[in-house]
Amino acid sequence: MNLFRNHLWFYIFIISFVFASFGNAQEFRLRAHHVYWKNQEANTEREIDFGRSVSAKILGKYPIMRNEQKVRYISQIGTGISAQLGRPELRYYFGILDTDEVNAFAAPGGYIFVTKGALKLMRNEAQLAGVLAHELAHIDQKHIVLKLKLQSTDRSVTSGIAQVLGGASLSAKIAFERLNDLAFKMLMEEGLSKEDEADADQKALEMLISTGYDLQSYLDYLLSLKPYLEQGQAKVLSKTHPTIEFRYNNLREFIIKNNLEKFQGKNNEIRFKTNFAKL
Amino acid sequence: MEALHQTQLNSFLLSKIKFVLIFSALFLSSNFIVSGIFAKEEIRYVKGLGAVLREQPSILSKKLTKLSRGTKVLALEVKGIWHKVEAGEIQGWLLRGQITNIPVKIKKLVLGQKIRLASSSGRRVRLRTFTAVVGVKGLVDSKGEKISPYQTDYVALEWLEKQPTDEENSVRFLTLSE
Repeated sequence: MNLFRNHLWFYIFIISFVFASFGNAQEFRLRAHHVYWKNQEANTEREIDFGRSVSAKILGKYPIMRNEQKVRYISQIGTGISAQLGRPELRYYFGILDTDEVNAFAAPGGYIFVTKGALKLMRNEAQLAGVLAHELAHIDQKHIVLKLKLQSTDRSVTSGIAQVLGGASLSAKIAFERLNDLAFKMLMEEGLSKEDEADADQKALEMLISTGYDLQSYLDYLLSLKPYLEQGQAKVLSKTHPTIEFRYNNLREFIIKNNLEKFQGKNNEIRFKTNFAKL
Repeated sequence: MEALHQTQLNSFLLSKIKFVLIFSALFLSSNFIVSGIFAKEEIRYVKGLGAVLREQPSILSKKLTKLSRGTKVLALEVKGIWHKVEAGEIQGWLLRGQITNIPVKIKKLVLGQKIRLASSSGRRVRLRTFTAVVGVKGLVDSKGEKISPYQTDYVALEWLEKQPTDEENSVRFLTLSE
């Protein structure tokens, strides 16, 4: 008995070691995944709610174009990309803003808008796909959500947007609305960081590759924005995005680094032009 | 005196050893648990519809097969934007955007459809989400100021949310070329 008591800690050590090594690492991982997933769901719902509110503000600033045929066309392109490379838990919406300004917006949770001015500037479907892919990348990478720091400070598995914005009290709701205004301001005035934009551009190219679109068209589109930035018709765009030179060079670098120069994609110019003959 | 000293030293050493053992046991088991959670389990899941598996890490290389959404694959190697994976018997390359490490659950969350701002008679009914309430009523905080200075348009947003989309058709539409 004395012997046992003397070596008690040793036995405990051995037992816990054996338990840990044979045991339930796998089961534990699954359970952790389950908890993580539950949180993800709550976070996703909050994110959609949040993005919906931002979108309503975008539509409060610019009128929506209620043309079912044109919306169906861009939504087919956008959904085609998101179905392959977007977040599977989201449903994405694609709208056209009836303004001559040149820009495109992405609100968290799957809301994407392109302006009429931008569509007028585009020459083919690959350019449209590129712009939509850029916005899709913002949503996939949760750039706005992360920039607003919609996560609690401890960064634990069980924290996130749902915890920050999920409260039912009035103060939580006011906080929700304040943050929402910040997100809207970020889209309209402040913009995301240079790195986020560069990242979204690169991710957009990746999406174009795997959907078989021409890459150079997207780069040409960026170049074609330039005169508008100087004229001021794309004031919001120039305020919220890095310079065209920066974005162009970033993409050239990416193309060379990944040996994508030889890739010949489609641009579906005729289909694009028939859909947007009258804008 | 000497003997007493010896036993004291012994018990002291013993308690030290106990500490070391307990902590190393805790450390080891926590290691297992942590590695259980954040395991670099090389299992990935295909995110999208129709991910094309290629023979080489290049867009110009031969297509091997198409993997359906949610397929479990084993990640083997990374090369730039390409991931080498094993799906069943076949090994090939996928773009990094095509896979995720969270099991794919398809859940269409269309919160917008829960909200009906106006009934057919024009009365407001069932304001479920807070955002809609704020949008319609213009909620004020304790000082009586309107919370958000921005205009909103939920009617236009609902119109957009009602537009039909179909993932499979859209993918087919995208792969058509002229």
